[in-house]
Amino acid sequence: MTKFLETALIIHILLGLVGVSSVYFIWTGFLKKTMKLSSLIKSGWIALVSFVLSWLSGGYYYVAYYGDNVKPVIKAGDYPWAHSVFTETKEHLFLFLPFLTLMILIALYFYGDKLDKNEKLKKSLTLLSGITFFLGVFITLAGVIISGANR
Amino acid sequence: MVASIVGVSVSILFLLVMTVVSELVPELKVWLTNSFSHHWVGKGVLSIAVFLVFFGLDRTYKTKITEKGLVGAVNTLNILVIFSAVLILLFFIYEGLHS
Repeated sequence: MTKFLETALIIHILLGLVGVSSVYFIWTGFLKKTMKLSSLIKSGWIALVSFVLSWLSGGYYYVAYYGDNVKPVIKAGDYPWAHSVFTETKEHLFLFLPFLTLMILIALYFYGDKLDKNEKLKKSLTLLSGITFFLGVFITLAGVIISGANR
Repeated sequence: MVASIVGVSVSILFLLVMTVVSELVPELKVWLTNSFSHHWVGKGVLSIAVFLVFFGLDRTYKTKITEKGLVGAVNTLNILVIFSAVLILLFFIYEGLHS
């Protein structure tokens, strides 16, 4: 693997973790009685930019290297399901994250200052950010399984 | 905000359909690969295009919605995301067992 691809993979992992952590911050922020809106909006931007850049760097690694070099090794190894189930699911579910984060960010901009008075909408957005967080955790764990199967 | 809920919901639904159908109809996967260099890139680019089209349409026609309707729309998106994620996982477990 070239240095550039190695860097792309590291960026993908690190930014993915930053994105998931930021969504966790938003989720727990929604769960508090009084939200600090400016912090949540900042976290929303960090999560969105992180997921988009992680999407691009991971996508480049996946398209340029994974398919020809990693996939055959995993499929011929002891854990072929790591690719057929986890890579396949991860690569598609990952596409959800930037959209969901954008949705949360837009909601914070348009309704952030009204959420303390609108409990139902706050609950729905809390659920949305929780779902986004757990989706991010699943994708992270899938990445760990795929890396393990390649050893 | 309604426009973004509509755009994101349709994009998630589009990704679910494209993911499953492109595995079941090889011609679609080949078309995506030929058109976008990789089927995954194709799904990503097209989902962004779908989002922009539905976001733009909803902004143009300025859909009016009550706060109750807004809560319903976000809840529908929540259900759609859980349903799509579980279905994609189950689909690839099924495909993995039968490949």
